[in-house]
Amino acid sequence: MPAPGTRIRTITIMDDAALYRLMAWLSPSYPVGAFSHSHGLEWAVEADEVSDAAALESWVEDVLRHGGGRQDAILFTQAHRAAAAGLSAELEEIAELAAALNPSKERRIETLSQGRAFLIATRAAWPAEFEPLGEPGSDETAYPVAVAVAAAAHGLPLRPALLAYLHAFAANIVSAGVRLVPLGQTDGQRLIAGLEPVVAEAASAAELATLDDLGGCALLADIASMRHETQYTRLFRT
Amino acid sequence: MYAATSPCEPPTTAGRAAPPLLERAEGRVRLEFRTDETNRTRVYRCFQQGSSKVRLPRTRGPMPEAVVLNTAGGMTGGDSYAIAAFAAEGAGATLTSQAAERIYRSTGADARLDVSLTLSRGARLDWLPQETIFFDGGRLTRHLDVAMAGDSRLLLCEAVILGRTAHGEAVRRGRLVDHWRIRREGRLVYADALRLDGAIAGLTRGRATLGGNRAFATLLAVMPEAERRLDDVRQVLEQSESAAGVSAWDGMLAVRIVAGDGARLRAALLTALLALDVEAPRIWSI
Repeated sequence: MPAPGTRIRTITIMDDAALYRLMAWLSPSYPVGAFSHSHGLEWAVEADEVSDAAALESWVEDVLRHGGGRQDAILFTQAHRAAAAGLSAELEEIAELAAALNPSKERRIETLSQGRAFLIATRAAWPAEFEPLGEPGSDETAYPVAVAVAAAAHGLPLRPALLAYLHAFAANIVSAGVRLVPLGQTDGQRLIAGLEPVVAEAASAAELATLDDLGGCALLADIASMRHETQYTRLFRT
Repeated sequence: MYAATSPCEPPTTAGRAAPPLLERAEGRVRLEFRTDETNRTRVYRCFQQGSSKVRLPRTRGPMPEAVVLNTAGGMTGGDSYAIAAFAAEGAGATLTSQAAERIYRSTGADARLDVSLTLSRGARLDWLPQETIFFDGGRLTRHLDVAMAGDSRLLLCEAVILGRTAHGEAVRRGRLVDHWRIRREGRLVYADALRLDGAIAGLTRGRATLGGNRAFATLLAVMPEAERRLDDVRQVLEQSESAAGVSAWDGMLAVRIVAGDGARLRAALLTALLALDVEAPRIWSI
């Protein structure tokens, strides 16, 4: 028994290959076009809703706790489990739901274009022994489902894969914010460091959730992505 | 008029320890719309049970209007309501509610509302209930499921107000879950999941959540001409004093509105409906 007050840390055993693949797949240089998406943040900056580092941090935190981040985390978890267990009918249902759960045209583009690009790149460079989703291109696969299924197909454990995904999700919005607000690179890294417990919490919540627990209330983030469609000058596709 | 939980029942006699378990309210409505030989939509079947009643007022418009009312006067934990409507080929109808639905404090279970709509070829259903007023400590799980033919036309709107804003009431805690699933020709084309769970006062203050606002709504049109209406709806919403956005894709048009209070929310909704050539049900203005 550990002494009272000792924190017991859960460590997921991950081999070298698992760490290497997750770092490659969720790196900003993986060819999914992540750099072209701001998740609606570009409009929030334009509308002066987000104009400094503190506002950016609370925006990203809301999205992780109550918006697209939470939703992706739950879909990721469910898809990983279904794929790892070989439950193809359940996986199909999760994939269909993930593709339909979008509040706006641009949020749909954001998740489906990255999902498709991820599947194409991963199948070409990292072929797995089995492909739980069938051939790419015919169906629309949301980004969290695409990454989760590849992770499961390569035998990568859920927890680190989910953390890597959520880190990439949050870091991508922060990086958009650094360019848009604008902020210094160090400010951006401070935000990413500050978001570490939020990402861990979102992952833990998702691991306990079911599809019935999906949902959030980041309605102003949804509205921002809708308003972005007609924003006059823009750097980002979404 | 009164449900089993009516406050008119005699109070329990003094000396009894625990209050009796309240019987929970239940209501069921099933409506079927079909066209007659003159191609006018008629209410072909109307089944009502428990605390749910349906009124069918005369309307001037081309579509009949079915007004659902809850004789229990609100919903609380354990209450269960189900509304199912079927529109046969070419039939059209509007469904609305007689008053804003009130979700009262619950100490235990969620109140449940299940709405299921089925639209055959060429049919139209407008689901336009009045606002849901959510009280502190309320718990509601709502499911809205639609199965529609490819050329049918659907309009959905759900508006929520957290507390009676005019009375300055605040909602601190509670649970509101609203899941929408729209299947067109069997394919899931739209899903939405709204969830305010726990410390609502805190989570609605967020910059990307509700920004401290107390009223919000989602309006969805699924119809062949939906995308052609985008510019009109966008134009009116950009004039709105509330935060509002609209988007359209794949034969659908979705609107989200976040407003400071119920009056501003309704004003934005009415302009969006008008831009979609839809007049709000007459009962809304009574």
